[in-house]
Amino acid sequence: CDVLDKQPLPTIAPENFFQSADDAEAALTAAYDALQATGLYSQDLITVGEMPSDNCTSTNGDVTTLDRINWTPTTSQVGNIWRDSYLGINRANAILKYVPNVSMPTERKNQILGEAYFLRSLHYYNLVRLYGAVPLRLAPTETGDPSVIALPRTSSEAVYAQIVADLNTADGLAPASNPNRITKGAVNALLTKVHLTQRQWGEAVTAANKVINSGTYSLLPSFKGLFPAENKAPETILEVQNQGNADGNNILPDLILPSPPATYSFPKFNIPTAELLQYADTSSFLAGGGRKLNADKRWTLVGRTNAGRDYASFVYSTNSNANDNGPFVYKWPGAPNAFNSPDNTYILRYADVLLMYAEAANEQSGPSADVLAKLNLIRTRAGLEALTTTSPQYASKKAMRDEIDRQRRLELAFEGERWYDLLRYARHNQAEPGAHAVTALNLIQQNLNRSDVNYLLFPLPQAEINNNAQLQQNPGY
Amino acid sequence: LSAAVLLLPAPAASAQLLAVNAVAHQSTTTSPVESVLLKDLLGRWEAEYGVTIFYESDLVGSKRVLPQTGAALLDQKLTQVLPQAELTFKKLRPNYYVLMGQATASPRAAAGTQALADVTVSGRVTSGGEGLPGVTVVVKGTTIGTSTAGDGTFYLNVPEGSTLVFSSIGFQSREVPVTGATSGLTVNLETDAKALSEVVVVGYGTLSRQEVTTSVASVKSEQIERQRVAGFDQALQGQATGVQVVAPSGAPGAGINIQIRGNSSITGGNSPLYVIDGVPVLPTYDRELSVGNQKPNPLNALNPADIESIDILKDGAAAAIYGVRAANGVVVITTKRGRTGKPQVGFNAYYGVQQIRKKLDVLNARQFAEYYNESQINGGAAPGYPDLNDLPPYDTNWQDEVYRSAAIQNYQLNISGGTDKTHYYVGGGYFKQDGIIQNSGFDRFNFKLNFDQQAGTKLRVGTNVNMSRTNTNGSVRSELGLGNSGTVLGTLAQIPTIPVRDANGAYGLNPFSLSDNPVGNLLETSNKALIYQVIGNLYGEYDILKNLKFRSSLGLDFRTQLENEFITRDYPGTSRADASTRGSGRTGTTQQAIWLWENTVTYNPSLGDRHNLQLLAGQSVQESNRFASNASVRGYASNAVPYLSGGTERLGTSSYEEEWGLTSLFARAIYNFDERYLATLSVRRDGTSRFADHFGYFPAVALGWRISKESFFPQSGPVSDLKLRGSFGINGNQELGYTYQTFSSYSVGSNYTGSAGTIQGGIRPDRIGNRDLKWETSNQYNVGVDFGLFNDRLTLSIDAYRKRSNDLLLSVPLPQSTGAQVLDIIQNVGSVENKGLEFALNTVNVEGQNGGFSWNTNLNLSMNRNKVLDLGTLANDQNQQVSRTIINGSSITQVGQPLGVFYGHKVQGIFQSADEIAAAPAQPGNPQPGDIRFVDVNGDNKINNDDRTIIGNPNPKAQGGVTNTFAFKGIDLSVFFQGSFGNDIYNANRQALESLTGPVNQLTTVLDRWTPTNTNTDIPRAVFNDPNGNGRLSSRWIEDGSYVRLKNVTLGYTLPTSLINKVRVSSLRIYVSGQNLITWTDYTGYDPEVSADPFSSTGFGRDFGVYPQSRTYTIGLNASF
Repeated sequence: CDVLDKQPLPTIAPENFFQSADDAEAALTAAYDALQATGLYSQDLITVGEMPSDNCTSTNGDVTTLDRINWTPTTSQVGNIWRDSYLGINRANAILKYVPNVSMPTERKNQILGEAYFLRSLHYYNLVRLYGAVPLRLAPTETGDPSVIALPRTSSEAVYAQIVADLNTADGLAPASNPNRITKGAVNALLTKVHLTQRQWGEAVTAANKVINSGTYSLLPSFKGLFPAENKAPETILEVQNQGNADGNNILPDLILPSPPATYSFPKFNIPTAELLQYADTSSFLAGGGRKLNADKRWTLVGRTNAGRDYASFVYSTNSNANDNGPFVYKWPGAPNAFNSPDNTYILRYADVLLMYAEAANEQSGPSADVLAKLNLIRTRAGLEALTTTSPQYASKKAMRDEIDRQRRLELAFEGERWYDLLRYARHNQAEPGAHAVTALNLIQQNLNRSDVNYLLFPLPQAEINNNAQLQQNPGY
Repeated sequence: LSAAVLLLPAPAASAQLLAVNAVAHQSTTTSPVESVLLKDLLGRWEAEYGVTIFYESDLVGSKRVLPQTGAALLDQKLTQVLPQAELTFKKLRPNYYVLMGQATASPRAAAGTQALADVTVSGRVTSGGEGLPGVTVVVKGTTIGTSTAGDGTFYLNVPEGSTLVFSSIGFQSREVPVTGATSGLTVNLETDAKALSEVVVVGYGTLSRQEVTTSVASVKSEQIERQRVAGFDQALQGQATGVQVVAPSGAPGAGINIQIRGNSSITGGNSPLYVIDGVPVLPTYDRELSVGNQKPNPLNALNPADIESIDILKDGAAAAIYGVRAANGVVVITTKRGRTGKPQVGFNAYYGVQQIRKKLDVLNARQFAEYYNESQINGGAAPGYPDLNDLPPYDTNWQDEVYRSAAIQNYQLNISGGTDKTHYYVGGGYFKQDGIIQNSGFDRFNFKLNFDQQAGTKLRVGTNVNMSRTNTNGSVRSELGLGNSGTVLGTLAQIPTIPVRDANGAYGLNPFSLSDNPVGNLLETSNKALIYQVIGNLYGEYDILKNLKFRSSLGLDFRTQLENEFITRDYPGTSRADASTRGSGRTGTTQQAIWLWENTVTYNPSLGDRHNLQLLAGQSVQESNRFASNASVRGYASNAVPYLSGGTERLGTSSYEEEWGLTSLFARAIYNFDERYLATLSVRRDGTSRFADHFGYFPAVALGWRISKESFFPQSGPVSDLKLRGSFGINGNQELGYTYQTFSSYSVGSNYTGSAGTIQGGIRPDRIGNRDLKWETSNQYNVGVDFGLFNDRLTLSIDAYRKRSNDLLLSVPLPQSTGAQVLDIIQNVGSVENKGLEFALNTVNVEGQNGGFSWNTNLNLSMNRNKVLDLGTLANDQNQQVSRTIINGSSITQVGQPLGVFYGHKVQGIFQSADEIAAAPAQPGNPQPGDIRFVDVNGDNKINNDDRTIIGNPNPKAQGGVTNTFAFKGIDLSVFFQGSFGNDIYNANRQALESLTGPVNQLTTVLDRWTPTNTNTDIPRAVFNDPNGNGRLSSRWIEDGSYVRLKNVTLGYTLPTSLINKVRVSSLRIYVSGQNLITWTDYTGYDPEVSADPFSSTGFGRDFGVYPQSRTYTIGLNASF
């Protein structure tokens, strides 16, 4: 009866959506949009990637629990990453469910599906490496049925298997070229990372090779030129696109830069540790605040003119205000713009792939010319001398591993990779004691005075536990 | 022809509403009336009323009678006419009458008086000074008689020494002896209060009060008209048991919150369903898209003066005939209709002055400067006024600047009347109420037409139409506090050391903070809501058989609403903003059309002598469409073009459309056996578009036993009436706020940069709908007893009820792993109980005879107890499933507690020394002597959020009203008290005005603040920024909200007819009236009748910047021609 059949007029009912190519594109746009969420690449995912690690410290109350590794189920980042990852998963799931039935050109349809598979995999990868076993949701949530809304956890092995399967599917669907968006290169770069995390060296090498051999990517000549990220081809593989007030209000720059250029003065997030600056051999800054020509261009400054824009990786501010004095992260140097920065954020860049390749290949078969070649691309761009087969770093798998670890840290510092690397190293050490010199467990020991393996995983957020009776909290929380 | 005693007054049961000033009339007849054949008359009536009048032909024969024309109903006509033929009648069923011979004829009548010489008597019959047409005037014991003309005059030749009997329906009859020829005889008839209250509208029909087995409160027009208010809803306060009316704001035209028997929904609507002349109207103004924060009240469309009666269906059984919309009770409004007679012209007018009831004492300039300096210094900051002897040259009393005396005026003209076939009522009115705050007010033009036409013998057609134009000027920013330019709190909080305007004419601004200039904010804002509304229907009624009637009606509730706000460039609130952004405009439009088509069949089968059965079956379809849009801009280059086109920056535009539909079937059987055993069964099947599973059944049963009708019951004792009632009914509530709650939805706004570098619009899954959702269901039991004592001079009704509302529509949080954008879903969980007792007492303390002193009292008292029974469960931090609690701002919703209880810290006094602080549970914020010590409720030796507890209950323990009406000669006086007892108010105004923390003016109570030399006080020290949280929500702000209020006193005088007849006025009454005259309360705010968030069942009872109630004095007149 007509009188009783009242469709919601001002909103889009799922049944009325996904009718056209435009609808599919709009849904895909929304799936990308999820990357800009606070819990993901606009703030928390990067913050969690750095704060617990040896790279960063802070006195800001919002992140000190991360810095001190005493997070709890109610720590905001623990909740936000979970929430926003699933938000992204749900948007991708909607595409995967409905777009196959949309009547549109097959080529573009397949590309959209490939992009959705990638995005879902990326979110699950972020989840599984932080929380372990998580509910594996492969269809959009569209009903209040308790058996649908409250899912139990799926083992991390099964989640990884799903990620790998999805990425392999995506590899067949994603386009080779897709400016500012997901490509086959991104799919394989992520696949490399997923395999590396699982210490599946051979598969990691294979996936990385697809990126390397595609011929699409190479390192930007200048390291400093990478920042701020603004679709810096040919090195960039995938960035989160931000356009400031217009769209994608990146919060990070205002959170990490001193004021000015940051809009506000307060204790900043993600401040470089003295240990890191030492590690990068920047001691003379700290000692005298003087100028030093460092061999490593990633950790140097050329001059203090032009509001400090000659820094790379970090900036040293001499503001009299304690909040704005000292070293600060300088990888989002564009425009803080009152929490609405237009600076992009790297999800994947080629240097990362080269380092992952080197790591996997070294683990697979020890130092080799191939490993050296990839590593030297990174070193020489940084202004360091190329290593040779006679370099001490080439002497053993362990020595090479240490060098790769070192270059990863110096190359990717503050980009939200370090803590995940340290977690990976800790797992590696569990399987192969002593493999890595520093792992997450060292930092847990430092902060908690005990080498508590439970802290290799986040707790599940309290808001999730409260509303999903199917879940059990991770041990130790 | 033998004479018979006329047995008057009115018959017990009548199925027609009777107005107070009402006028049953006939115009054509002049005295004396010609007699007609009774047989013919009866035949005519059978046809006209669709009834069977059975008689043995000998009984009627060729008897002639004087046809009586004053009465509208058949029963009344029979009562008047049959005695002339020495007959009586018995109504076996509503449509079946039997005539019988009178058992005894008056012996005196038998003597006959025809032989005596006739004398001429003339005069006028009045009631309250108004000429009363259609009054039967009969010489006692004879058939000689007449009826009065339209102006109440009569002329009759009577035998010498006769006694005249004056009678009319709805009035107490009088006997007046005459000796000799008399002219200018004035006879005043008193209204028969008992007769007037007898008809009860029960939805799709009427019943006599004696037949009612459910709980229905009736309020008559005079109770409504007495109050000088914009809308009838406001006038219901204190008039009926079980009805809680809160005027949440004193703003003219503001929405009124009515609850019947407590709040039963937590997130759904708690407003009753209003049925205006058969058209259901649900006020959803509290939820509608509106600009400028106005919530105009669509019920204001109705002029209270056009209302005949309001019947409130309170219990589940009474309301069940309205099914899925009835859980909050049903308010049935019947408007006035015309009656047979010559045109009656009524003119009513009043004019009054409103004032703020009281002003609050705030600090003057010097006191403020001292306080502010102290607060700054205690906070480690520089004093704001370094030299107290060199203060700014101002001492502004902001309340004096903002509040004013405001006029209230009302003019109402109506013409009504009719012939045997046509009845009409045409009314028009203008009401205007200025606000006691500058630049605020409400006015209404309304037009009313009720028209009924007999078309042929079996068909009746007619219409009810109400058209109105209301305009609300809502420049006042009520209920917004001080931070958002709220007027009321902003006025109290603005500091006295700045001027309204400085020497250059610029608005004074607070130099220490961003708070605005309340006068400037008002004057530089224009915020109008203009509503045109039509509520009405067309009907046709056809008699298929004498006792089988079909009725079809087509109804409409149509409204357009235009809201326009313009804030000038000079608005003080934006004076610190960038010049290019100053000035803003908003426009909102809403159009709603609700169509209704109803068809009913009523059947009154003949079942024999003592069985009375009424059957009703009906069908109804209703559909609504509402469209709303709004747009806003800012950055006006000039104030010259106050329209959206004048703004430079487009801020937002939106539009919205919503539809719902309802299809219903309903049936009801009302049965009584010998008027002793009463039963009503009803069921409604509603199909609603709002839920995927559309259909629900809402049955009800009600039983009654009139013990006083039993043979064993002493007929001569003091108890004249005694009835026991019991009922059970199931009702629904489908008001979820958002109509499409069951649907999942996608929404726009998730944008992202595309391949080409431009931003693309994204559409995301947004809300997860719940297709299993259904309405809230209330099961209500009611038991009641009705007493009548001393021939019903005292009537008392007592009702007890228990209402359980289950399957409450509650927002349940979703696991985040669902990936839903909106992380909650509406589910049917939870249960709330209301139970209570209601007492309604009416007494005739002194019965007025012949215009002598009379005194009536109407008292009502209601006690409701509300309790949350279930809220569902939630896993706690230990992963155990525990009962859910919902903390919503200042209140907590918790199983075992009533809805709305206040939740905060308890105050344990003031710290006097550092030692005391050190020994006390740790309190964050570095407390100092003079700071408040809070109670460590959970005993963990620290003060934090976990120490919050229930600190007050906004639900009244009891509420009621008492109206006393007195009359003596032409003078009438009514005195109405109303009160609420045992409820707490959260005085959030004081949270700003006694905060002692910043550049905000304070109440003079802070003069007693803690200082090292003034330690014996409960007001803490002044300290900038409140490090200890002295101002947090605590028992400090909870006050007893009980009050008793002299709500209305009206003193009227009806001028003697002799005085006014010369100016062709048939009656003239002048009166003075006072509203909100005296209030007895301990509450310290403006008014204990307050609620900043009245439509929330969990957030009511909070006083926060609410527009104060006014005290009103009016003078008025009622005239008829």
